[in-house]
Amino acid sequence: MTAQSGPLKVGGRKKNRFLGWAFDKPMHLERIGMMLHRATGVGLLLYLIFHLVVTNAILGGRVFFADVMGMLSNPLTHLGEIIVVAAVGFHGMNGIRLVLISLGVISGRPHRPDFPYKAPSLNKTEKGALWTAFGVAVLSVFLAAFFIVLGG
Amino acid sequence: MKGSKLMLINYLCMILIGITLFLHLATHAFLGVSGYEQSLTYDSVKGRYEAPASAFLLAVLLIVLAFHSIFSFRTTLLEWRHGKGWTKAVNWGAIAVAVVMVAFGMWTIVAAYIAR
Repeated sequence: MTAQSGPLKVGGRKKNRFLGWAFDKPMHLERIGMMLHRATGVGLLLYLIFHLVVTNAILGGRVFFADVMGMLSNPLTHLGEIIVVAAVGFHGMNGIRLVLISLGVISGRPHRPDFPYKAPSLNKTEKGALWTAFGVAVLSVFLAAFFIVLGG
Repeated sequence: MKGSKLMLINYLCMILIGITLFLHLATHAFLGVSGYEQSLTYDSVKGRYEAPASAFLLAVLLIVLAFHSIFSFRTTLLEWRHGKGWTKAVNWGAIAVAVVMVAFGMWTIVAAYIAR
């Protein structure tokens, strides 16, 4: 077997390294879950860096901090904060699902691969766990909106 | 360090994130504050840095979040592309970014704590 160099070819066509990783077929629930998990992960990392910079403003004194907070106090930022909380909710719940799968807790027992093949990872418990993650994300939106927009 | 050991540390970080992030968000929603807006005032934020327990919580949250986020991002990057040079660059890049993140965050926490 020879080592492949250059762009990966799948089914006679070139496969984009990034988009192929994210939007490969078949596009099923688990792939969407994985994509969202990674997208929320990268998004939260960027938010964390931004958050560290913003909170550093506390060292600039009362006036400087108030200026920074005033600049960030607008509907668009509040929407961003709600999205961040939803991302945290989804990423956290889906992370628990992934850990439970990797520990073999909800994967079920391995079975003989008979035709027509079904992806063994998509059992009922796992699907339920993934839908729970989506549910937690939606719930997080309402919780965040309650505390951020309505002030708790 | 072995990848399996790093993954175990990552699991531990995930548990700690669950606990500390919940407490952190609670201090912005209902724990010791009257509401979200009030939790973002200078006195409220400064107060959280000045209280030893709260400052400790922030420090732990910072460290575990930095480890988990950078380690996971590193894993994604290593799945995306392969190669000795790439692996080395990603590993050193991940260490550098994590160190900078923790150092910057700790500077805020320690400086605000000392200035009380």
